Amino acid sequence: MKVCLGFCLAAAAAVLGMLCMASGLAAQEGSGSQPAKSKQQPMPKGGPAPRTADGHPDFSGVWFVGTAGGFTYNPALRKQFDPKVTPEEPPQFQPWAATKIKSMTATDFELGRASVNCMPRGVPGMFLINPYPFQIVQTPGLFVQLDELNNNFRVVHTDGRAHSPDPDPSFDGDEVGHWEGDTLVIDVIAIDERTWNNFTGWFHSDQEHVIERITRPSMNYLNVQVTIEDPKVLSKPWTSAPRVWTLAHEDLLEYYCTNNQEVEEYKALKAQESGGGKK
Amino acid sequence: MTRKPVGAFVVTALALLSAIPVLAHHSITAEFDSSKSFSVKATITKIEWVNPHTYIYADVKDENGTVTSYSFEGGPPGALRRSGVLKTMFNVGDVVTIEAYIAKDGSKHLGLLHAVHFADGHMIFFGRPEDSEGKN
Repeated sequence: MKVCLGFCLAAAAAVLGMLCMASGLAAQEGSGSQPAKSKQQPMPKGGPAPRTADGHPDFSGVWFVGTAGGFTYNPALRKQFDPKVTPEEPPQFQPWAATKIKSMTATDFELGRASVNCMPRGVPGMFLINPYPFQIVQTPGLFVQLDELNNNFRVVHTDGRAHSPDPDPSFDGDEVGHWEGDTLVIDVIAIDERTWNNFTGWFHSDQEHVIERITRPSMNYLNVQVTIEDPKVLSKPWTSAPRVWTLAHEDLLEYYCTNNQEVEEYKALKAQESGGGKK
Repeated sequence: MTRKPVGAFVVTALALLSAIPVLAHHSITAEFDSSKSFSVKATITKIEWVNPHTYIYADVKDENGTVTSYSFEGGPPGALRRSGVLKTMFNVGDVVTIEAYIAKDGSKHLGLLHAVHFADGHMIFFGRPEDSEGKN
């Protein structure tokens, strides 16, 4: 059996992480063992953010989730915000949407999970549910995001231009940027309805409107705050806590989701659930 | 036309057919049980260093000389590289002791890699911090 389930790995994770951490520490004391590389301290601020020739903050660099500035086993350093400091409300759904999500089974959640169905994270998932690093390449008037996950990329003009009058739906949507002081605001519409905003059923409509607010408060830190308006699905707009990434001095690698066999397995399981009356 | 693709299809189909009741039986729970591990002495027979997950295959010989093939799953190559684990650390033919977490479905010859111990005393740890965020 060659089945790898993203969710199951997640379930094993905290324990594994702790075990690996403990093992790593032990390994350093042993002879001939191979200590794991793992950053253990949050990055310092690192001084002021650099700026591009037009005077705006330059977000260019490779960015890792959390505060470690690279790979870490330490779950505390992978956290992107502290809910005690910057609380984040759960999304408030329209009654019909809440009912639909409540009716979803664990199988439905797995079928909608991007790490199982291998769909692109898209916008805003690339910032909200993406543990893999990304690289930003910025020039005056242009913001380019290169994602390690599935070698996805997005190119956003930051000259304040208007949306296309007739955009086709796409995973990253029709996206345009403008500056508000030192904050880059990316406005996104026309997002493919197949993506979810989390792994527990937060689907969206064709009316979803995403606003990403990106800042670089210091050399080593990048913040992204996401607002989602979706009047068909949400009863009020949702705004994330500012999510944190930190600068890494290494290149992106390649990561592709190719777990496509799992989708067929879950579809078969779903057919059993809905047709056979089996439990 | 050769018969090979047909054979591959049959193997794939059988694998899927066998997997479906397994999943159903477990009502979508974890494939591996991180609270239970096992350890076997084995000879590495094949190394797959591919996305999204790596695999090390190894043969285990019991006291009667009977050989059983095991599959051990690891994290994605990129995460392993960043944690200090490289493909070049393993070779087909290496005799090692493998620590792994058990598969919840009862598959006895499948495991989630935790550590590989070599005869000279050094060992390699496996870990997937991105998975531990529970959101990948």
